[in-house]
Amino acid sequence: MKDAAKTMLGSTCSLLALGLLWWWATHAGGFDKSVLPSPADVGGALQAGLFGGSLYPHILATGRAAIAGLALGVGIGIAAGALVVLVPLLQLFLLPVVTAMQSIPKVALAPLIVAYLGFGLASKVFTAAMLAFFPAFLAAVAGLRAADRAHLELLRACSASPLHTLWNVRLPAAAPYLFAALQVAVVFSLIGVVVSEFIAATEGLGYVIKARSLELDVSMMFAAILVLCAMGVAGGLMVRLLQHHVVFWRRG
Amino acid sequence: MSLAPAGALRVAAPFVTVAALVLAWWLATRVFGTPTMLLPDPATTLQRLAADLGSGELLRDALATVSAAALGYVLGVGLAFALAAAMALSRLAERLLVVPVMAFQSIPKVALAPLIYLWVGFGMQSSVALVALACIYPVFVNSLTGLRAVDANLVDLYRACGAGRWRIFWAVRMPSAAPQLFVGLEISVVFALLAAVVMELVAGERGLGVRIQAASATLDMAGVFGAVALLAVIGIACSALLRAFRRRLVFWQREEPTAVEATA
Repeated sequence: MKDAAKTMLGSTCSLLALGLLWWWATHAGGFDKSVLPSPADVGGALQAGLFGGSLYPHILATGRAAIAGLALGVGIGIAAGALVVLVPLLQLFLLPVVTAMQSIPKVALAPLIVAYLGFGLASKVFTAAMLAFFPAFLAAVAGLRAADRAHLELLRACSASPLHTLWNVRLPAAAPYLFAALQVAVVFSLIGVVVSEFIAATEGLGYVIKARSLELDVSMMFAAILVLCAMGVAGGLMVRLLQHHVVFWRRG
Repeated sequence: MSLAPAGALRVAAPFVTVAALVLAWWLATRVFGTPTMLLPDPATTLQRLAADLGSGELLRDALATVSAAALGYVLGVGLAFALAAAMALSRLAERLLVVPVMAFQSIPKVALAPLIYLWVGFGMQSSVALVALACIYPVFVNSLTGLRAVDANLVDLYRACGAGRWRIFWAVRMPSAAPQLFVGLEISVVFALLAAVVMELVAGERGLGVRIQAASATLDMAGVFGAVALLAVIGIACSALLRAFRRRLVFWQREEPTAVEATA
């Protein structure tokens, strides 16, 4: 407890120092508003964006695309992972290819996706889903394989169907893996949407960040980035909460 | 079943998959007669790739991307390791830095691309800066975990024999942290290429990202495919290189690290 208090004190000190440095840089340090806005400027932009409502349509656009992409990518990823685990031959043929694709920066495909699917929601969702697919797939393969051998053999001895085994033994064993992957996938889907919005979009937080950079409105860029961080953190917390309820047998 | 054919099959299987995909691609262009502008057939793409490679332009772009990624990677890894070492060795540094680092981690780094561009300017230096930012966290968190997981008895033994701080760091902590450190290094390699490409997509002068963006905008799909293929080869080669390094340097670790890590 005393240790936690000391950490709290240390963190408060360093955050305060950082805040002061920021404040000093913008006031006495002579940084222009179009380079580094002061904390008050950013606060003003946040207030205008959130309470004034100018950021709402963009938050909604990015959030909607990220959630759709996340659901699609994770759903397909888990289904594909389950298929690969159930059919060993597929594992032999597909797993090395997917693993190799891990080393490829897949967001490079974003311009191609925009060229195929257009400026709207579809290319954002596709990009987000493509990025969210990989963590889900790999976690599904690793998790479903991590099932207890003795359990699997017991169910086989009772001539349980593969689907029954999947649902009752393999899926619970995979759950911790899947939630860890979901945590990663939340961030990836946001990244996918934002990059897609950088390339071509008419709304969304990525669009705001890019468009405001052309107008040197750095305060609003900061505000949009902060909102994006908050969305990532909120998504992560929601996953953790869900995990707490679903994987109730594994605490801590 | 004997072991040899199974081993051969294991090696051949991914190539069979890739061959099947290319065949499906070729069939799709044949059967549906898609215009080259939308989906060029494999032969056209390959010819185009050969032409782009031959003219040296594609390689020049690849070199720009790779050098920006490499510079940023070295910078980011250095920073991350210094940070992790400071936090592993000093309680004070840990108390001061843990919350700022957590806050930094919650920023999706690629979203900073336009801001970095404003701050650092046009050209390679902005790519280097974004790459460095993107590489920091994976290396930091893995080094910290590794440096902390050191055997306390071994440290005590060294200390009892009169070894100094630095001696203990290099002889005890580093070797014990190395496997975990490499996990971070391997993840960061992909993030480095990713960040370099995103920066080029947002505002670049040259590089594979610029090429992909320009070719997509003019519906030059064969050009896009060629650049993406080269990027894929580079990504796979960089990861393989790092794995080879790990086997050399961390030779006492026999099994592959089991950590499942995904990259964007």
